[in-house]
Amino acid sequence: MADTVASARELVKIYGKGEAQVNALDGVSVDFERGRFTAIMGPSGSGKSTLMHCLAALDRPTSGQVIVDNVDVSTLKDRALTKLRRDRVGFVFQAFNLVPTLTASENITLPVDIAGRKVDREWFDLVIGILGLGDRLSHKPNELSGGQQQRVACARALVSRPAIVFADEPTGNLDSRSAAEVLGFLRRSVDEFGQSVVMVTHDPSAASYADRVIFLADGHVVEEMADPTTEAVLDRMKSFDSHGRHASTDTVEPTKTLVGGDA
Amino acid sequence: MFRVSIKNITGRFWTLVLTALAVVLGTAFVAGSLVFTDSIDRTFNQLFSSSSAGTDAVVRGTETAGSTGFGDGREQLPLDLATDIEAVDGVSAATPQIQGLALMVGADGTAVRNGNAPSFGLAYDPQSQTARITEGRAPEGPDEIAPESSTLERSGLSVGDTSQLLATAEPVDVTIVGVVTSDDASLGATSIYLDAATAQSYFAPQETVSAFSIRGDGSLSQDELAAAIAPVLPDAAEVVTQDVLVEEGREAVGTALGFVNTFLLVVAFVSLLVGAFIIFNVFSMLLARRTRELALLRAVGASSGQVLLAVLVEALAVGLIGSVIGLGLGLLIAFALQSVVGGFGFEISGGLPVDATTVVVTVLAGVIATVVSAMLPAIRASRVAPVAALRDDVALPERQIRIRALIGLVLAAAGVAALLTGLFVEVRSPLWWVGGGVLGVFFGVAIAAPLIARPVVWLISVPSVALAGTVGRLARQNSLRNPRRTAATASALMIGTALVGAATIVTSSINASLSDSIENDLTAQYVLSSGQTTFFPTTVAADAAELDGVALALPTRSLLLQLGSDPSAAGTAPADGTAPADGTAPADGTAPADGTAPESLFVLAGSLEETRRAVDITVVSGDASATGEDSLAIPRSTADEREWSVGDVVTARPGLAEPREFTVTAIYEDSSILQAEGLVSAAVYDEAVPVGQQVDNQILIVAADGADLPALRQELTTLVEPYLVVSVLDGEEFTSQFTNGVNQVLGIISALLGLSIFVALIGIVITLVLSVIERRREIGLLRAVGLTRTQLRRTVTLEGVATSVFGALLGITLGVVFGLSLQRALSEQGLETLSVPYVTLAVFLVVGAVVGVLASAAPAWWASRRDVLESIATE
Repeated sequence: MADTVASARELVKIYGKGEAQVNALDGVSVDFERGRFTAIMGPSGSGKSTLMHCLAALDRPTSGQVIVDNVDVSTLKDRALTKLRRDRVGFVFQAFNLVPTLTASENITLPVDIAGRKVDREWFDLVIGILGLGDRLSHKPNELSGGQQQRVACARALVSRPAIVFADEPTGNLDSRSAAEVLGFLRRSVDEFGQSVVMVTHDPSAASYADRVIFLADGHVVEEMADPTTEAVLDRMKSFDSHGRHASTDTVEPTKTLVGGDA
Repeated sequence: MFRVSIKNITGRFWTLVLTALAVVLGTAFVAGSLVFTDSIDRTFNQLFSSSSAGTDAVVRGTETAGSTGFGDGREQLPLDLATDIEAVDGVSAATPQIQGLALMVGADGTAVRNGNAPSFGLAYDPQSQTARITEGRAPEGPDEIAPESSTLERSGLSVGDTSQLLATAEPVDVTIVGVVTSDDASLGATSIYLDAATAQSYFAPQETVSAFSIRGDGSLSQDELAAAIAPVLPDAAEVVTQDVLVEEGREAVGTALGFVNTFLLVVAFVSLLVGAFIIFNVFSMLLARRTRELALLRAVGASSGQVLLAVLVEALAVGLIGSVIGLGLGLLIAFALQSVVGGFGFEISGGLPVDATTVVVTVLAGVIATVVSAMLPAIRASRVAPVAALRDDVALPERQIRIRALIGLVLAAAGVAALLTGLFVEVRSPLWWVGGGVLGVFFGVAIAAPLIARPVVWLISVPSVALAGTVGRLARQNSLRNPRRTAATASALMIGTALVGAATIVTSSINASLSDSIENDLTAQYVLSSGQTTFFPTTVAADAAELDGVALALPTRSLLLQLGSDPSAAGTAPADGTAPADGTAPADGTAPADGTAPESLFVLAGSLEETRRAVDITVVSGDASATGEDSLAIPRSTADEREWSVGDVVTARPGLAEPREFTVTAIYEDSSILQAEGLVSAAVYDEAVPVGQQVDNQILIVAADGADLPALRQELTTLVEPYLVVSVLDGEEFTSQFTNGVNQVLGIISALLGLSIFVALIGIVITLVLSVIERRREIGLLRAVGLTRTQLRRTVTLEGVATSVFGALLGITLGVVFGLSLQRALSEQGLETLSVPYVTLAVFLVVGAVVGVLASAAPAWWASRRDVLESIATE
């Protein structure tokens, strides 16, 4: 599977114990192709964020296997995990993406600086140019607008040329124009630089920028859709909402229930 | 609003613990000092009341000049006065108090001593109700002794063993025949009991003593007994009841320990002050974190007064809890202090008394310090606008940093002015000026510190940025992020460092001044010395003078000249450990006593001509060769103070001798070796001091011309060997005997002030922990984008080090300022040489860095263990 940049096998993540036990991921197996833009969608509590955290080596699954860029993440210790995140993974979060004491430029080169490597100036300038951040580089985060901050975060995610970029609700805090800019940039990074991007979102219009959408519900992958449009995604989401849990459990895995134990 | 306060407290367990910790440490030393001084007090009370058992009254010689209140410096009474007293109806026995200095040799061949505590020889009284033979039998004859049980234990010997006794004559071989158990709290002094005749031959060879213990037959009360005895006493004697004696003893101890109490309270105040800085800082940080919550309270209708009240009630509760725990910790500190003092030979048996006063003072101090420290942050918090609740990124309004700096600088300048006034201008209570000035400087600098924090911390961080790259830069940004906080945390460390720094400079200057003058002035080749608290028989001086290579053996013996016309109130300088007979009198040259006899002159025995052979003394005027018994040579300082000049006639009573007229024959330049107010001939001393009280602790040895010095030293060493406590010192060793004492005092002061550095360290821990909590998400982000745990720990550590080094720098700077001012102010009193110990100060900087590393260890580890996800998860 040379074209798979990240994959999950039988991924289980359980929070809590006994009565309070929650199976956030209940045996998820999914592959993400290299050079593609994948969106993960699902209602609150579906496990989409947990899936992304496990894939991005931010969280350890209870059981199952995660492979990122041909590395079996589940076997790694903290130091190796940190290095993996630093060198092969890029992040864009919903909020609080930047270190407030550093300038935009310092924030962008942070992973490269931490690793003690030289910044690829040409690549840096190219990314900055595309994002239109040229005149904002010496500004501190609190001097930037929300959209600008998120574009800086995107630049940081790309500047170390990671194997994969994970974006967790990157447009959650942005107005629609800024959101479109950020999503447009993620799309361009896939199209022009062959970047692999995985994005968690609950916004159908954001998902429409992706090549493929994976729907999660109750800790299971319930469906996926190629070349999504806002309308198609919206319809699919609506069906989740109207049928609720039963719609998904009935159609996909009728024998299982969300909370460990009986229904 | 009270409910809000309570909820705030219970809901924030850990932050409460941290805040309370600052209060705990601040108040612990207050409680510790109070408990410690109470325990000393109680020890003495036990001492005095237990020794009173079986004694109803004391007949003693009337007080003479220079009395220390411990029964010396009194007229000598004939032993047969006991017969007259015993003839009085109601008196059962009158026992002369025969005692003096005596040492015994222990199993290891050295003198049995307990630190610097004195060593006594006493007459064993078979009828005593406080000292009984508990093993073996009572001593009989000059070759038997019965040591007190703890003394015997210390010696490593047991009943039946042989030892040597060193009293006022040459050492004698003795056998231990018994053990005495005494109810008298000895405070660590060693005691050896002898039979009455032997004790008398050593300690009362002239058949005189200074006191008798009186036992009644039970028919009279103490007062009645005293009244009955009074008529038979001579003019030179007085009778006091045991109750009065106990009270006198307590008062004397109170005076003697007043200095210790004051010093401990100053140290306690310093740690409370440091604690207050930390409390202030913690409250500022906690309230900054809660701005939105406070704004919400305001938005739903709470007045700013109510917000203020809520915060203050919270401070009150934290202060209360912290002080109570501090009280407990104080007991530990008091116990530690007792152990330290015990190590010096002063055993405290008073337990750990907790008085109501201790509880009230500690809790009040803690609560007031907390509430006052929280006041400013609380006021600032109460001014938060309700709209802040709706904003995402809020900060409390920061006052203009420039106004702040101005206030700080003005305060610091006022502090310096007050300090200088106290030191150089004649004012009523200079100590208050100095103390207030120092406080002013501390507060001023602390207030202005945020202004200089930016550039200074930036500079301090240059090495860490150079060495640690991005990690160093992150650390620097973190310490620069909130200069106010960094400065407040550093200020806590500054206080302790400044005080220790000043003490170091003063000590170093004292040492340098002493070394300069002593080494320059001492012409004697050797000094026979037993240190400052032990004495040896006068026979050593006589024997040393007989040696071939010795041109002069000059013992340093001191006495008091009672000035003026009243011949009934003169005295001796007691050469028994209560006066610094080695010449190390207080630097101001006054009498070594408790200051009740200002009209006496503290003089040394020895003519100026003789003394000049051992010490380089410049004669200003008069005849240095006058050796008559009526000649008095005085230093320039005495001449200036008394307005005496050569040829003046002074009427004075030397010790217990008859008053006589002295003529000022010469005036010489002051010498730090001869710290006395004058010189009289040796013959005067022999008349003035009873033979039993004549002991030496220092003899200056001038070698004969052409003498073989190493051989002479060997001979002297052989000579003093039997005396155990005497050593032969050359000039350099002699100097270090002085400087060692000074260094020891510095050690104690530094250790106590060092506690405030420990409090400051905890302050840095608290600040770092809170800033780690505050930056939870930022740390999570850094970890997410690839900062390893090691790198994160290093970031926190470098931040801590930058803060602590900043504090150490501020402290060292202020320490130099304070030390310099003190040295200048004391230069008249002999502190002429300024010595700034650069190496020690550099060590302080290193210590500052180490403090930073230690303080950041736990927060750094804690930060690195935080779950990455938990940190970045959006709420």
